[in-house]
Amino acid sequence: MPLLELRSVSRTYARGGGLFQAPTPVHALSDVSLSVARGKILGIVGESGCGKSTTGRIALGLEAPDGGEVLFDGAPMPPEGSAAWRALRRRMQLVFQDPLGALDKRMSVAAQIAEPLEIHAIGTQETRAARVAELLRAVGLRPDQGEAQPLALSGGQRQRVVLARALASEPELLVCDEPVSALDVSIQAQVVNILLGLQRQLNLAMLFISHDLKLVGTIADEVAVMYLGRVVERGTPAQLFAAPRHPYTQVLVSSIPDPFRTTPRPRLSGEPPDPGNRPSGCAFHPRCARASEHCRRTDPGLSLRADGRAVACHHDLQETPA
Amino acid sequence: MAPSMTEAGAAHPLLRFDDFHVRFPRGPAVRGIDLSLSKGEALGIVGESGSGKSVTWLAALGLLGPAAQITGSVRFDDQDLRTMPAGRLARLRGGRIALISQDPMSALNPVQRVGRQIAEVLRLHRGLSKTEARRETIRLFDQVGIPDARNRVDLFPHELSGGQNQRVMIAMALAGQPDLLVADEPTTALDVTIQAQILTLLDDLRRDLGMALVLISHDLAVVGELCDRISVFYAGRIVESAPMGRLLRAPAHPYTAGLIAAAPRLGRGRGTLTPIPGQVPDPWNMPKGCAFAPRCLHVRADCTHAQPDFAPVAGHRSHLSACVLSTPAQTLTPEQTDALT
Repeated sequence: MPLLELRSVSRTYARGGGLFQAPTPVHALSDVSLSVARGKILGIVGESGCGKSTTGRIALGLEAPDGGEVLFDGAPMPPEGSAAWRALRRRMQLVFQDPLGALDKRMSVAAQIAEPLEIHAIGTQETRAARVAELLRAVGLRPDQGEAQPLALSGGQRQRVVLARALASEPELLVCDEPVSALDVSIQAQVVNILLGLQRQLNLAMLFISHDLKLVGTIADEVAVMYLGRVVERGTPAQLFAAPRHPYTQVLVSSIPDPFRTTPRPRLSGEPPDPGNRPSGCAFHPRCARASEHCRRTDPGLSLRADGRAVACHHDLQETPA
Repeated sequence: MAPSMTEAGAAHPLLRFDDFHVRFPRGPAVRGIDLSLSKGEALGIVGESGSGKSVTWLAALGLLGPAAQITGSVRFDDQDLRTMPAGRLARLRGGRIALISQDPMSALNPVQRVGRQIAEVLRLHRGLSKTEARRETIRLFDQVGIPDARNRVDLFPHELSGGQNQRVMIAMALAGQPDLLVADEPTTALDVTIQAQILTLLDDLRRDLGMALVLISHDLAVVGELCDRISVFYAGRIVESAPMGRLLRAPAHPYTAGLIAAAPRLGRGRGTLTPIPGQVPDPWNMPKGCAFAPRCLHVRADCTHAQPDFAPVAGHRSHLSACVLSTPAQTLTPEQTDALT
């Protein structure tokens, strides 16, 4: 059984509007189904506005979907703010890009790592201090560095602190939204390895959201590619990156910078998509070289292929029946 | 690129740094750069935060405040930029030398129509009339691939996407008919498909207009896409410089090899990355000898005594490395030399 499951989740926001103008509905997510098991990493990739961060927030119950349901450990997500919802907080945690924004600049990092322990009434004063030291060591910091304030640490060290704090309540699910995007390459590799080591050791389920296709391809067990609020292809990194099937995944993969590329850089036509103005049928059709009348009218929906991946493309379905 | 071009270019470089230093009150940022660039060449500059890769160019163009202490020389077309009167340097900037940065939104005036901002450059640097400037702005918009140029020139920056604004910045750079375009992380803030488009545009423009390009990035793969030659910066110095393919396939400096190994690569299955231990030294606390020695897996006793010479790797005149071990490039593991993909 998956630890986290999203079933046909949709989320719509209202944008703009005024005295004499109705707001435009923005379909941030439509009909998204995803799941991740304990000990597994699901990568979510896509460009700005594709809905990957909204997916993360809905997975954590920080936002309620308008349609569909979110199951955690087999049970529906309790209503936001309820006692059951608060109890669930300690079982799932979020790590995002900007550690300085996530930390209080005037508090020692040890005090901030201890906060979740206090909130969830875990341990006593003495055991908490020992636990904080243990967490600092787990992320590769020295216990004495706990006395430092965030500004006295480097960017990589701060992200380790955020990670230690996220792990304090012994969560089962970690949602990481661009967790290492702000770090230099050599430091990024350090933090990613600590993250992966702890994920395996603690058997965490992880949702890893990133625009960095190479990074996701290196660490994830399964990858979902999103375009305008929908999953257009889902499969293992080997399937997606070596032989992408959805035309959008194909463009994404061939856009990855490669100094020794043998094919020219792709030229994706059309404007970047606007979630407030979703094209009819397959949302990718205005930019797709293979678009037909059928694509303009009917949304293909995600369907499973024999090799276990799922693709949302009419053309691919005709070529490789499910 | 033909090797003869490098040699011809080296005799009459378009731009040349000699023993160039930049020092801030808190410590040195650039600690002795020797670098030259030929006409029409595409040079990649790679480094992490604090390596001095951007400061070098800002200092050369006179864009740092009075707190920056600059020594050494930087010559553009045989004119010394450091001793040039401020007015002349200002005309060179935005004219024969153009600079574009990571964040077009902060470089553009948010309350002025994008076309007017370019027309201003055209009137200032090329003395065009108002009507001529508008016509030329529309032509430049077409050239950088902004659709519906005639109407888009009248929009404000917030009405355009990030990729379109970066195209506006490139159009503005081209307005001065530059011989050299310095692009500092021009695609870092953009999505990967837009990044591919902007890289294609820069590549096409450089070939069509014959201008030289300096592409500064933290990403070796991005730089490798466009550049003939790459220089790797670390802690205010160049540690390695070589033709693109050679640098990525047979790096001689342990830092370059480390950067390549630390970057995620597709097609290797699920695995961990190979980080470089430690962190970049603070400018006020530079180690003695080689600045990379404290993080280097191949460190020897003599590494911490003196700064190694920046010298050719055995048998390769165009491949320079600042490492006492750098002569035998084959000491690296096959994994490290298995370049990026």
